[in-house]
Amino acid sequence: MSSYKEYKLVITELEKTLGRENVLSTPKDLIAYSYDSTPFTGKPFVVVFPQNTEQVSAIMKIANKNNIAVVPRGAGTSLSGGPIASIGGIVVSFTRMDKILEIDIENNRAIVQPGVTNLQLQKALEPFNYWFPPDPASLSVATIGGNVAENAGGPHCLKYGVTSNHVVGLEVVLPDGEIIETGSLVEDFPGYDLTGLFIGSEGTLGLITKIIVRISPKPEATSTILALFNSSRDAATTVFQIINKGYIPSVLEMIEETMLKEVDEVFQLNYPKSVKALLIIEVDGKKEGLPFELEAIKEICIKNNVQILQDAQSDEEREKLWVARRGGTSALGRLKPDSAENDIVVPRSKLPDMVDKFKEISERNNVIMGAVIHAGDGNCHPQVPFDARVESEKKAAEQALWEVFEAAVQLGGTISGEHGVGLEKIRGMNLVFTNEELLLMRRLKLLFDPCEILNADKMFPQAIIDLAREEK
Amino acid sequence: MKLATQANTEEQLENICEFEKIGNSEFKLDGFMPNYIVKPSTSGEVAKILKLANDNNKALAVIGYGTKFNRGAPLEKLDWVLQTTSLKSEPILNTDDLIVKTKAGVSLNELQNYLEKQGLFLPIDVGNYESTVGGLLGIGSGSSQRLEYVLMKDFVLGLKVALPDGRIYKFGGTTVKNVAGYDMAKLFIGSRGTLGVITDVCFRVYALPPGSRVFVAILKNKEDLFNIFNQIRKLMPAILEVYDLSIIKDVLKSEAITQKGYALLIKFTGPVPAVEKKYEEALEIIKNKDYSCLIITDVDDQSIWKSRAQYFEKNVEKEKDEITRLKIIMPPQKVLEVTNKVEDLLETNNIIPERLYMPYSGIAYYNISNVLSEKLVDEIKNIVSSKKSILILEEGPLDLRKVFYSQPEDHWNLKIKKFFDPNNILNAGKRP
Repeated sequence: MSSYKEYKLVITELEKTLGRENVLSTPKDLIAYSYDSTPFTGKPFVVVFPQNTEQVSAIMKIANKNNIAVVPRGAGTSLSGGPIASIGGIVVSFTRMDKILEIDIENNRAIVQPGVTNLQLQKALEPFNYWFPPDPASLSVATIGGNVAENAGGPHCLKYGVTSNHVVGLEVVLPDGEIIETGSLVEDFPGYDLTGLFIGSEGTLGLITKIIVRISPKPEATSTILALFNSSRDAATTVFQIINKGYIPSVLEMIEETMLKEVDEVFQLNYPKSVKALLIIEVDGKKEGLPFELEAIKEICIKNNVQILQDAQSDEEREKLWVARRGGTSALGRLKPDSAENDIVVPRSKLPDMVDKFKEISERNNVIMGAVIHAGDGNCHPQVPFDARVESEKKAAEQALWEVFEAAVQLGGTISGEHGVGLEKIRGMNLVFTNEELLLMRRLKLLFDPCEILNADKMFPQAIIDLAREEK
Repeated sequence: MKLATQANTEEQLENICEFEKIGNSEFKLDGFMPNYIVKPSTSGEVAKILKLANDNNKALAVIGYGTKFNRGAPLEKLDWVLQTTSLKSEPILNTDDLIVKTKAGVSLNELQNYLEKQGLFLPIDVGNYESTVGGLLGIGSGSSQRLEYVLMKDFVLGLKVALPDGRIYKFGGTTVKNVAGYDMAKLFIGSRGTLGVITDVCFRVYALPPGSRVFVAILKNKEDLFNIFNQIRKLMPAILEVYDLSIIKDVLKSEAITQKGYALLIKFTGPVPAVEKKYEEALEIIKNKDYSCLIITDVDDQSIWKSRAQYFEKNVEKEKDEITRLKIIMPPQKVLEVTNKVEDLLETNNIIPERLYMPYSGIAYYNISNVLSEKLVDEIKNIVSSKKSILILEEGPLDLRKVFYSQPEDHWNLKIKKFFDPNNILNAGKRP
């Protein structure tokens, strides 16, 4: 489909199906839906806002019939280019499927539409003293549908697990419009774990229209400490020693030297110059257990040459301890007009080596590289500020982050812990999978999406896409 | 390679790995006697066997020690057995990262013993009989510790799998977080060996919690028990299950225990003061009201889980499918209602089942030593499905399983099966 007339016909059909108020097609509107949180852009020819599953199914049937690319979209906070209409087509925005359908405290379940934001769900659960543990940094706007599509993480994932550990069932619209249900309200539902397959499939297999999540009672109390070290290696060693002693903090976050320096400057934290790494450690649970747990953790910090240990005695003090962690990305980002980052993962014990690699890679490529790290999971967010108007800076940033991928894989890790592959990490897929493995996954995509209309250019290298197509 | 004759087949098998010819042996799986048992010792050998079988349309049963094979939907056909118990080597433990890499043929006992020496464990109960790690992954079920550590699929970080196309694939890795590509490993866990053969696995392992306490409240009245259960669940126990007393009477070693009644088994873990506080609060709940309740605090935290695991090994003991085990999965708050109705029906048919409930997860098991008629199973199914719940015939006589699983499978399950195993050579008939 390529002519204006053909596009217009499809838009008319979509307007008839969804109502004109649920279809956007003016150039101004389309530009607004051409971005996510990466530098990638791509303009759709129409944006649609379904309000129920049947409408999503109808959209897919129209797209399938006309062989039009479809890109599902939540709040557009993706850090991998997932919701970008890179080959045009229809953007299906789920922001109007934003109802919490059921909260069932007695059975620890909630059923939500995909456009419900993570924060909306947390707030709805608050009166019951319950929560949904996955808490990506973008939770105030990111949708649960997007969280599921990317298998989002967040600081609390060390203790409570990622999105896939809290989703028990889905309703999915397949590219031909078929509506299927995977999993169930009940546990141990028989059948292949299609729920597990769809979670993290980045909108390439089907459109998620309903999500059954497991909700949990909120921990009774939380305590926070901040630990400053003169060496990243000491901080990282502290991290794995804490976990090996049987303590699982609810949060175990780290900031390395370069980012710490910027945070210190911006927020005037007055940390000693010798400080090279910061750990924020939170424990939660029964309040009687927290001092015991914190003492044991502090002892481990002391054994690993901690320089400064600060306790939070109140919520206000707790917020102060979080300043550096929360402000890290923006403090480093202020150095240049643009910024790029990724989310590699290494085994925890390799964190000191990875931090050394950040330094080595940034020096080699003449870039600034700082990182916030979900240290308990070995999940690092190295960030490179650059000026996109200067081609050499842009290339250096890209090269440096590519070398980070390579280093992570060499250390036994992988290229993405929570952001997904999208458009951003396609090249990196060859670092972690053989061609046979990639081809098998692409064939599986074709089982669900034989016409290749759903996010068809994401996740897979072009050579694999071509190979799988030739086999058909 | 096409296998024209028997001699040709044996020559081919010999070229790949050790194998055993089955003569007039009693060895049967779901009523079928195989021609050969092949015993590959590497993932490469597994892949070659799969390719040979696939090219020649030979139906394979994939087993570890076979202790849990004769359950669920029965096999439809069988030529060879692929036994994974030779897929072995010393597990590779990384204590800094709390991960262990192991071959699928290693037994859970061996693995747990190995981990125990380092003060670590995998949250799966060990029973009396050997089970391979691969076999347990094929079943994919949870254990007594599912409340705290969730399910097996949640602590598998990576898998190596051989498929009928004769290739070996790796999915996942060695890190706790990993979202690169599709989570293919999830499809294989719980797939009952119908998609491919798992040859290697990387598990996340756990350090022993700093404190723990396990105790049992014995009650005669089921309603009282559920009242107590609903209060204690708010204390976020690591384990909260209900057993018939007969299941754990040897472990409890208390003369006050009679055969009738229920044991509410409670375990708290975490920092010592938190565990003690929860324990105090739980005791207060149990003692506070006028429950006729006996509390047993000197419970051996090792042998009780072994005893629990034995509940699931009754048919292995008897070497025949004498015990029928039903599993009901339901919304947690329906456990009392659904189990009452099912038990009333069983009672009117003079059947006294041995019960194990996991009410927090909405699961009830019944071990039944009587022969169940198809009609009675249908009646139970009707009760269960009227309450948005599902009845599963976990174990039982072959004929009953054949009837129970005669309904066609969900079409997406069939598509997935066909995608990985187009010639239906792997555990044909078994269902995930």
